[in-house]
Amino acid sequence: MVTFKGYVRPDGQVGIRNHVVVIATACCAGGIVDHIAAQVPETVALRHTYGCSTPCECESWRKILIGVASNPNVYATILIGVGCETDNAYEMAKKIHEINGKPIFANIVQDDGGGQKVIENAVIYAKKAVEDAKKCQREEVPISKLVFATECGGSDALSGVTANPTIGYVADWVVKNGGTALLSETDELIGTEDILAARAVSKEVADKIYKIIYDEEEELRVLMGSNVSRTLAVGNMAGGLTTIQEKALGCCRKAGTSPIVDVIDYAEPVGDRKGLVLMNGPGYDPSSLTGLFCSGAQIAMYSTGRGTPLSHPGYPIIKVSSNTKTFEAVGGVNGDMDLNAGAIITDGISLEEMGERAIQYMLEALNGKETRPEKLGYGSTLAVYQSTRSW
Amino acid sequence: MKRGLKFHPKDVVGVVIEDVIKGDSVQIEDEIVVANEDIIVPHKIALQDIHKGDNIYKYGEVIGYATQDIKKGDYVHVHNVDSEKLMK
Repeated sequence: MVTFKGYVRPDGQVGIRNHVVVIATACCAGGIVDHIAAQVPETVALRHTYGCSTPCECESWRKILIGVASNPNVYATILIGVGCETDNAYEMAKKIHEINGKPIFANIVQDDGGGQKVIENAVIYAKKAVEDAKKCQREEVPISKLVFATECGGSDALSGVTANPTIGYVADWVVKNGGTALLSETDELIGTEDILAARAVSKEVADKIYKIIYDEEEELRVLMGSNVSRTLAVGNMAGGLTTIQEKALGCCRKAGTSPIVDVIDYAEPVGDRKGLVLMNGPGYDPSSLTGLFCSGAQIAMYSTGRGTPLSHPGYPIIKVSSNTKTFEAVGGVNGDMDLNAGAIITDGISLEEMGERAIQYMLEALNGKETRPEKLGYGSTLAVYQSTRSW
Repeated sequence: MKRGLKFHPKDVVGVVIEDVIKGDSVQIEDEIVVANEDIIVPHKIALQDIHKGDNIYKYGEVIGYATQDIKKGDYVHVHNVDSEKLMK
């Protein structure tokens, strides 16, 4: 049995990192979060611009807060409330603790003596939580405890040839060993609906696949008009991708070849689902990564043809370049990328060999070795997908 | 001789994996295609003549259709391929 060493949480999930995260329930307390994280550098500040004045997004935001705090990479959560926002931070903290049983602290600026007092209170808690976290020991657990996220960003025409099939090889391996693999980015699946639906485990799942892809296509038609086929970034086109279908046929390869067991909403907990699961997330990779994190992924493997430095504050991202030129352009060995799948073309390495290398690299990362973005501190903003404007 | 890749027997386009200058010969599997234009990595080259309106196959799947006649060896990209009419 293949195993990894992680932190077993009270709810049975297993983390591969042991973060004390600091997050505001609404954007207005963001500066306070920064001060807490600056005074206790071992904490992880999750910076964002959400949490209020989006009445249609309340449920979605609650799902994000619960998902962040419940991700197994999180040991403890510090929740900073404003006071006048939609959800009360104390009530939210209580709800979160009932769900995951993990340490959580909440303070509200308008009820607890203002920003300076809240910083003081939170710093005392944070220092203690960081010390407590250090006492956690890694335990050996099976790969079935792994939720593996797949992502791509700044794709080029080789992403679907080298890096995505490499990630797909890893996804198949995770599923074969009883774990869960996640595919996201619904708009980047347009044109692959027949291929994916044919892999669904049931008609019900196939119908869900068609629905989310067609709904996305219709929405994009309204937004993009006759340019709908160019639902691509400028960099994608510069990288040789001509239509959204061409991009999608490359994108879907990062999910490997396993049957699709279910479709879940953005940031919906993956729960007990094993096998390949499709999350209805956006193609905008920063927001997609947050959705996958909130669904429970402990790690993500991310392909790029153009060399984007994007990472995520909550979980390790393994960056895989699709071509050797990009790998070298962003620093080469010890640069921004973890792996160079471009070697499949430039060095004649087989996909299987590249895939096996990627599995070994991931196993080391699961056991605690920092990925390149972690080492370089590229984890930045908690980007969240919202489908309505704020007012 | 420059190199290119073809992913499926049905494909009418290949991808160059070395920057190509007009007049260069490009080996794609057993076939040699002479480039009619400069094409940078990893952009597409036509492996055969394609008529306006014909489907463009890559990975054995339809990625769009030709918006004008395309000659074998032409550069294939947004200027001569679209997929809008295939979409909802």
